[in-house]
Amino acid sequence: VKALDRYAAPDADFVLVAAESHSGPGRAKRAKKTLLNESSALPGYRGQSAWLVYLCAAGALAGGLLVSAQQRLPSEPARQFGTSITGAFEGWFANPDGSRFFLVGYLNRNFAQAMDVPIGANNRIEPGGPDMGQPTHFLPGRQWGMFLVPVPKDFTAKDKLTWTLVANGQPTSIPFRLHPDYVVSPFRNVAAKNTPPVLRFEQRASSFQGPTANVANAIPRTIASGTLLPLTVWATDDATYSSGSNAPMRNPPPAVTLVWSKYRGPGQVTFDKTNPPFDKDTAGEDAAFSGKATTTARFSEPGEYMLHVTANDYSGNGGGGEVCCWTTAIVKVSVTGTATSTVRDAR
Amino acid sequence: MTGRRLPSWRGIHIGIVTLGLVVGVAADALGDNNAPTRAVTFSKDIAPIFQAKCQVCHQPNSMAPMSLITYQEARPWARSIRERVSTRQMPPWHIDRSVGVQKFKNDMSLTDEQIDTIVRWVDGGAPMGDPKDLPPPKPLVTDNEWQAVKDGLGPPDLVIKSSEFIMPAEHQDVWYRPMSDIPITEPRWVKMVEIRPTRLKGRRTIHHSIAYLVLKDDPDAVNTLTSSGRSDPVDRDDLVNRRPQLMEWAIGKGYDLFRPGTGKLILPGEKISWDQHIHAVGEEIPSGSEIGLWFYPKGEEPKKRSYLVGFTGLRRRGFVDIPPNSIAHTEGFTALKENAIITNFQPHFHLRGKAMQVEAILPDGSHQIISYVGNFNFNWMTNYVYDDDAAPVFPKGTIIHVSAWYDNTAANKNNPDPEQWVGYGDRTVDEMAHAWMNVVYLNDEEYKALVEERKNKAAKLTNEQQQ
Repeated sequence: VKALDRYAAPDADFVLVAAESHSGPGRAKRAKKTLLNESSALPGYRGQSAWLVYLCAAGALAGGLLVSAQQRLPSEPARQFGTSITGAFEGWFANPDGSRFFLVGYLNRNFAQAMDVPIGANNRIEPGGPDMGQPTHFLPGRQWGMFLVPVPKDFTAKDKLTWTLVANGQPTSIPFRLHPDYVVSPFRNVAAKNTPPVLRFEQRASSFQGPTANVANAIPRTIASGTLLPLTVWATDDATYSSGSNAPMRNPPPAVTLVWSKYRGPGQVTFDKTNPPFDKDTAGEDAAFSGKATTTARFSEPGEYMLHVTANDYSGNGGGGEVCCWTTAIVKVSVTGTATSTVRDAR
Repeated sequence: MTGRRLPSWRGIHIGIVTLGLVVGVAADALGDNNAPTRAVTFSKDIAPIFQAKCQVCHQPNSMAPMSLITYQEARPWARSIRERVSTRQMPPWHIDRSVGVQKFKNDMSLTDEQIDTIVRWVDGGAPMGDPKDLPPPKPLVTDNEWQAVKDGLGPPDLVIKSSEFIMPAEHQDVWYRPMSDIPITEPRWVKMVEIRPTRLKGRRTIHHSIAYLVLKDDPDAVNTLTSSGRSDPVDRDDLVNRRPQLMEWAIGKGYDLFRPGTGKLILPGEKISWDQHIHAVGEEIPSGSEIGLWFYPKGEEPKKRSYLVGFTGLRRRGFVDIPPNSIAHTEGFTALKENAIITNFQPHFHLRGKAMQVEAILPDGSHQIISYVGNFNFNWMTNYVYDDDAAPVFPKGTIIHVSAWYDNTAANKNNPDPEQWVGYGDRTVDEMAHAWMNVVYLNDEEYKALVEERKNKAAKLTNEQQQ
């Protein structure tokens, strides 16, 4: 918050902020310049009429926004099913090569109902979509930084993408913007000197680090229908721990924990373990933590699936609210043949 | 367009002023000395108010964005000043004056009469008046001064600094957690604490700074007498490993002044573990935090501890759900497991915070509003320190109910993007809600004695008022 900056315009800051909110910073600057040129500090000067015009315009815009608010009553109870899902814009970051990504999660307000919302009118990112790599399977509750959306090269601070979701007939939508307050650093917590776990899906294969889950870099697998897909993850981590008070942990959990889930696909996916524990692995002896975790996945019917894995370090879900440090990846599975398996528990 | 033309605002304004003059003259003729019979001027009327309530911050090289020392400095901001003071955004004293506790040790607010004077000055053209009417200038404070010094409480006995972190111009929020030694050789009781950024510019980047006490062997320093849900059993080792807050500071806050006879004990060998939440502001700024400690004199050590407790405003730990373009609400409940006095109130939110109410639900089911801030401002996490006789006291079993409201609309000037859904998190763009309050516990005998003393004082006051 640039509180002092917003003080810098004598007698014009309400209009300035309103203009920023609705018209982008460029127009806001022009409005500020106009006001500073035309107005004085007291009523009766030439600028008074301009001030009123901007005030009315801002009010009208604010009214329009309020009308379109996604209606929920304050303090509604958490529901098990029958309600909405909203996207959660975690922020954006730039890569060393200058490319940029939006980091996106969601809140499924159905706390006991995983839902499938196919790509289309009810699950779309526009403009450029509707399919921009978002999930179609939504786990209950808050899921942090599940996927990346690449930012188009010509994207400016004034532009936005909008993710619209309609679940149980209830629409929500949120924008993705290059707003400076939403810059994130999900690959390194510079103060705590923490980094996300490093994952490999084959022992000597390339690694994943950070919330990089993206359909473009999905790991391919093929399996015949009715057979189990083995899923093994090798992980290393710096086992760095930091909290508000930095008090030592009473009962330290494993340094890395995994969560497997269905991301996309026509049928149900059953994991032997959705949170497979790590066995000590000697391959990554240089790391403070090195382990190997295995589970299997069963698919209810043939088709193209995507599985999602999140690896949290000691910072926990969403980095404990600090947006670092976890790692995500997507496994793309082609299930061939005809359906023969029985599904016990779909996630 | 045809038809009768409505009178212009200017015409109405002239009419009102004329009416006011007529009434004023008439009132003067009737001998009413309080009637506004002369123009309000900066020199005679406004400068004394600014000296008393504004200049402590609004002076060159201080944290305020403009100086209000001279007429030339103040005049260009006249309309802003009118708007800020008439809506009670400035001075930053945002507690609702019609609800709950109303007597404070650090009340910096303007009186209704002072606000009326400022409004009339601006509406009257903001004249300077006769420079001979100006009061003698007050000495300037140094930049980044302790609030306690500004309030006349003297300098701290000991200052402990953290190392500094260089916050880049553009970066996600950072939580900087260095450790500092406490250079004392014998136990000391603290009667007041204040944290400030080590540099003036740090007031732009440091959202909050918490000084946790790294205990050596003092389990009694840990608060165990409030509960907001299932509490894990604790043993001595666990308590010693916990780190109680010596103080929480957030942007705009001043000091924690503990109730007489209460304080915080610091032992030799203990350390401070800092938690500094830093936000980028478009300019590279290095800063850390420092804590000032005011000690009780030796031989005057207090008998009771004061515990800083963050009373939650959330039902579910770590969860808020604020839809875009909406006003949202959460609430939290915390039980007092012992009789307690609450000595201050400081609401804590992030950018979408709008209002917070703290009420007590007593064991008999009745309830009592303690405090309400209806126009919370993210840039001013003011600490409202209750007057000793006004600090509310409650029996064990009382529930402290914190209600929190959020404004995720364009009407919130601090809102970076009202179209975003907002969830829980530590960043300023995410939300949280809790009430920082210092608590002193009383045994049953002490509680009964204090309640009795309060009743007797109230009865005496009533008698005096009736005579």
